[in-house]
This record gives sequence, C-alpha cells and structure tokens, in this order.
Amino acid sequence: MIEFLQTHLPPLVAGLRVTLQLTVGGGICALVLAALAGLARRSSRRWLRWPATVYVEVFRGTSAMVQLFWFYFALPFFGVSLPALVTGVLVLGLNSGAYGAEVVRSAIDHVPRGQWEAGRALNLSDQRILLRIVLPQALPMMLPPAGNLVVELMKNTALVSLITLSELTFAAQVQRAATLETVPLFALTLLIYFVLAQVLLAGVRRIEHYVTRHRGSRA
Amino acid sequence: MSSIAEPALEFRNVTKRYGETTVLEDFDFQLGAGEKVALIGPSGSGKSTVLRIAMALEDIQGGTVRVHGIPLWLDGVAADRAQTRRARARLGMVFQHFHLFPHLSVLENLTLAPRLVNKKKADEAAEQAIALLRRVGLEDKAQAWPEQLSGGQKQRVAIARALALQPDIMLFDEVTSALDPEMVGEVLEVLRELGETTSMSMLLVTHEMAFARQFADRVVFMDGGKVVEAGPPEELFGNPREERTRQFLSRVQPM
Amino acid sequence: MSWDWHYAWSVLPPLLRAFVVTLEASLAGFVLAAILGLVWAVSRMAPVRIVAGTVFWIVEFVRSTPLLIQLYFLYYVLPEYGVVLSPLAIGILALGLHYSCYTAEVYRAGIEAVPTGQWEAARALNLTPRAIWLRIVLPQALPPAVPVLGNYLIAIFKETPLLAAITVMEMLQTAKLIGAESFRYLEPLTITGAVFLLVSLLASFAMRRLEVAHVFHR
Repeated sequence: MIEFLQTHLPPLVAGLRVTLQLTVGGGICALVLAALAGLARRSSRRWLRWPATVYVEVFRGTSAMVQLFWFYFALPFFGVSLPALVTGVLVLGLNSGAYGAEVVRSAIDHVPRGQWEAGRALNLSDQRILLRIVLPQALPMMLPPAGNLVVELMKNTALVSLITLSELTFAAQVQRAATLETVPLFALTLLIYFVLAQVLLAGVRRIEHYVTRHRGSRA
Repeated sequence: MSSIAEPALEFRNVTKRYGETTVLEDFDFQLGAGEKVALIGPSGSGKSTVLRIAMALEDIQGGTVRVHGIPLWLDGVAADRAQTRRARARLGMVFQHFHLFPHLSVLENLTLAPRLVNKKKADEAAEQAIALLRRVGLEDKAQAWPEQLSGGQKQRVAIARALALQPDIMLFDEVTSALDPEMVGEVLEVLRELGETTSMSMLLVTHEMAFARQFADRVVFMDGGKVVEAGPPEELFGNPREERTRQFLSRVQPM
Repeated sequence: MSWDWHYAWSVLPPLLRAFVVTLEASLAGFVLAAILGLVWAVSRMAPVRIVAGTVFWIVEFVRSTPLLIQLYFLYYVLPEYGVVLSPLAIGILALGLHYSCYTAEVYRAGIEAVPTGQWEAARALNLTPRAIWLRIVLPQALPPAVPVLGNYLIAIFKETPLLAAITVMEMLQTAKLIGAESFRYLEPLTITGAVFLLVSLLASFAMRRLEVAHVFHR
C-alpha cells in the first residue's frame, strides 16, 4: 500500500497541479465571459446582443471535445498555434462561459420587473438599477448553478489529456502503461477528482453563505 | 416659469395599446398643481396605466403627456432620456406591491436614490430618512430588513422612500389592495396626514370609496379607457350623472 | 491557407457514416441512463438506510468525476475480469452509467413533487409498496420528468466524442484520422463541429416544442 502510494502519488500530484491550473484559469476565463455575454444577451443594443447569442449557441451546441480539437488542430491553419495549456484554458473558459452566460441571464430575468420599475420611479438610471438593485438580488440565485458549472469545468479538464497535456488523467494513463496496476491506480485517480469536486462545491457553498448572510432576503 | 394655471400633470389625446387591446383611447386628463384627485373605476378601466404613463414606465401610441410643463410625450413622440429624468424628478410613486429592495435595509431603501440621484451626502440622506420614517411611524425599523416587516409597514416604508426625493406630485397605485384588511387603516392614515400637511399634488388610484370621498378634491370615474364622469366627491358619489357611474357605485358600495 | 471546398466535399461521406455511430451511442447511452437513473432514484428512497445512503454516494461519486477516466476504467478493467466487450459497447455503458447519475436527480425531483397526501391515501387503502410505486407515484412523477430527460439526451450526444479516446470510430475520431492522413484538419473538424451544432440546435428547438405541448396537455 505504502509502496504503491510512493510510486504513484508524486506523478499524480504533479498532474493534479496542472488540473488545478486548468480549473482556475478556465474558471476565471469563464467567469468574465459569462458576465459579459450574459449581460450582453439582455442588452437592448442589437450589436451587443447578437454576437453574444452566437457565442452562447455555438459553444453550448458543439461538444467541448470538438472545440478542444478544433482549437488545437484546426486553428493552426489560420496561423494561430497555441500551446496545449493555453488551448485548454481557453476552450474550458469559452465552453463554461457559454453555459455561465445563461445562468447570469436567467438570474437577472428572475428579478421581478417591479424592482426595475421602483428604480425608475426613483429616477435611477438603468445602469444604476442594474448595478445597485438587480445584480445584488440576482447574484445569490446564480451561485448554486455556478457551483455545478465549476464541477463540470473541473471534470472537463480531463479532456485536455487528449491534446497531450500531462494533467491528472494523463499522468494516470502514463503510470498505468508503466505498471499495469489499473484498478488501484484509476480508483485513486477517481478519488482525487472526487475530493477536488467536493472542495470546489464547499467553496461555492461558503460564498453562498457569505452572500446570503449579508442581505436581508433569503427568498 | 410655472404659473398658477400650469397643471401638474396633463394628458391630451393619449392612446395606449397592448397589442390588440386598447387600454386608453383619446384620453384627456389634468391634475392641477396642489390638487388631490382619486381615480376610480372597474378593474381593467386603465386607471393604473394612467399613473404608469405619467412615470414613464409605459410607452404610448399617440398623444401628449406633460409633467409640470415638461413634455414626456409630444404627439406620440417620446422625450429623450435627459428630459424623461427631469420629468421623473418631479414625481414620486407608490406601488400596489411595494417593490421595496429586499437586499437593502429599510434605511438604505430610503437613502439610495437621494444619494445617487440628488448627490446627497450619506449622513444628510440618513438624517432625512429617519425624519421620514418618524413621519410614517417607523423610525424604530430603520435597521430592519424589508422581509421582517408586515405588509402595512412595507407600504409605509415605500411611501417614505418616494417622499425622500421630495417630489411635487405623488402617484399612489392601489396602495392598499395587496394588504390584509387590518393593515389598510394605518396606510390610509399616512395618506390622510400627507394630504392635510403638504401642498403636493396627488393622484390616487383606489378601491377605497369612503377614503376617496373624504380625501380627494375631485373624483374621476374611468371606464373602458375613458373618463366617464368627474367632479367633487359629494357630487359624484351623492348624485352621479351617468348611468355607468351609478352602476359601478352600486356594485362597490351597496346601500 | 484557406478553406478547400473540394476537399471538404470529399470528406463528407466518411464523416456522415461515422455520425451514424455517434447517434447509436447517444441513443443507446440515453436509454441506459433513463432506466438506471430510475433505479437509483427509487433505491435512494429505500426504507433500508444502508441502501439509500450507498446509492446516494455512488451517484455523487460518479457525477463529480470525469467521464473520460470512467471510460478508461471500464475499458481496461472489464477485460481483467473476463468481460470482453467492443469499445462501442463499453462507451455506451460508460455514457449510460455516468448520465444515469444525472437522470436520477430528474426522477427524484419528479417523485418529490408528488404530494405526501398521495402516499398517505395509498397507504390508507392498504396498497403494497410495489403497487404504490407502480400505480400511484410513478404515473404522477414520470410525465413532468420527460422534457428534462430530453435535455440529457442532447448532453449525452455532445459527450460521444469522448468515445474516441477508447478507439470508437465515431465522428470526431474519424475527422481526426482523415485530418492526420491528409495533413488538413480544418475541414473535417469544422464540419464535425457544424454537424454537432446543427443537431443540438434542432434538438433544443424540438425540446422546447415538446415542453410547450407538455404544458398544454396538463
């Protein structure tokens, strides 16, 4: 048992580091894209709404793996060759960002219309109503689905092993090929992913707790 | 610039449609400066729409709307954003369902707009807010969250919030309709006090006929998107000229 | 380098043939997910604590770990225990198993939406647990779940390219091989993406129609 861990844990931990980089990098990318595209989809300006809609539909409508392969293998034909890690972060961010944009949009849509009207009746500008009244109410609604998206993003980092990046799944594959200890090795790898998912979910729940504690309504 | 003759609110030939249904048709109405008018009528008669148009919460399909002479709509053409905001600055509105901001405390509900719109300092806005809360009998609730208040308290906070911008005209949109019966009185009491102690113009959409009768200088009966009859409360309630008014009154205040 | 229509046209037939494999895997995986998910959902409500708890954690575990490594696991481990399946069959098994843990949640929501009064009324009529499930609860819980399940059919469809990792010749794997042979990845990969987009958009459109029809029938 100890010997098994001594052999396998160091390379797996090295892989886990790359998995974490992908998760955090992709997550930040996704957060920014989700906020921008989610708001743009609700805009009254067509030149903002239209590109955001195309982005969301394309990246939700094609598979994450197809996107990854396209960016890695097809993009060089346009003279753009990105390293595997950058491709991974970018594709994970673009993919989760598209789903996140829908979370942002639907949360904003769920803030009652009366809140906008009350803001207008107090002569606040639309930007101020969005910023001071609507978003603070929409944010707590976004968090539970955002937690699920973070876990999905983390799971999708495994795909990046297929474009030769040595993250956790890749490391497990290498170790398996070397030692053929398939069952304990993959079981350990799955367990690491599972723990990582629980940590991420706990993190989002903490943010949720923090946000709801600092506001009156929990409805 | 504003003369005594200039009305607080002016609607001329206003037409409002939602898709196929016409809510207001060639609607004419004036609210005099300092006047208190009660709008009554069956549901769907367009009463609330009148208030919502005055606050520029609704588009119209034709006609002219002025707020203290400032055009919101001129022959069906909307004012630009700056002018809309100048008109809105004269108005305060209280909604049927309160629409308090649930993520802000009662005090913050009252200070948000004065600070952002009127650029008031935080302490100054808070001081004014406390004074307004005292006026509606809720100064002890300044730090409470809206969800902790009863319906009647929420509506009193909503009234104070609208007053915080010091409007010249107050619009009350069925402010007691969403309340439990035992809370109607406390809200009407605040309205009565406002009516007696201020010179604000007030336009009130209500189903409380008894209150309309003692509160208003003038009562306007609307049906089918038009003014059917208007006059002093004693006249309209005591001796309605139109058959439709009579029918409506006999339904809402059985003898 | 720019888009070559002639080449794109020539790679279309093999890609579409591979698309059939993609569809087979999606549909078979979905059927498996729909059946297994119901099993999980019902056993999560088993009166035996150990059964309910175990199922809960299995579902949590499978849901929060990557499908890819589950795929490898089955691919390498099943033969060690003498279970020899084709890569496609293993892919379908993995897809079905993984997504059953999502559909389980859908069924659970449907079951929980059945009012407690229905359970009480059924017990008061002295029905057996089996009869309560089959005659009273599931007939009320399943219809609202159908449109949501449809979303998972689309999700499974979009995950089938993962089967390329265990040598299944589905569409993405085919596109990659064609690209490697001719050193032109752009056309086959773009066509693959376009087909996925088209099918997903059509499917979500059909789902919305189904949902609307569903609402009107109730």
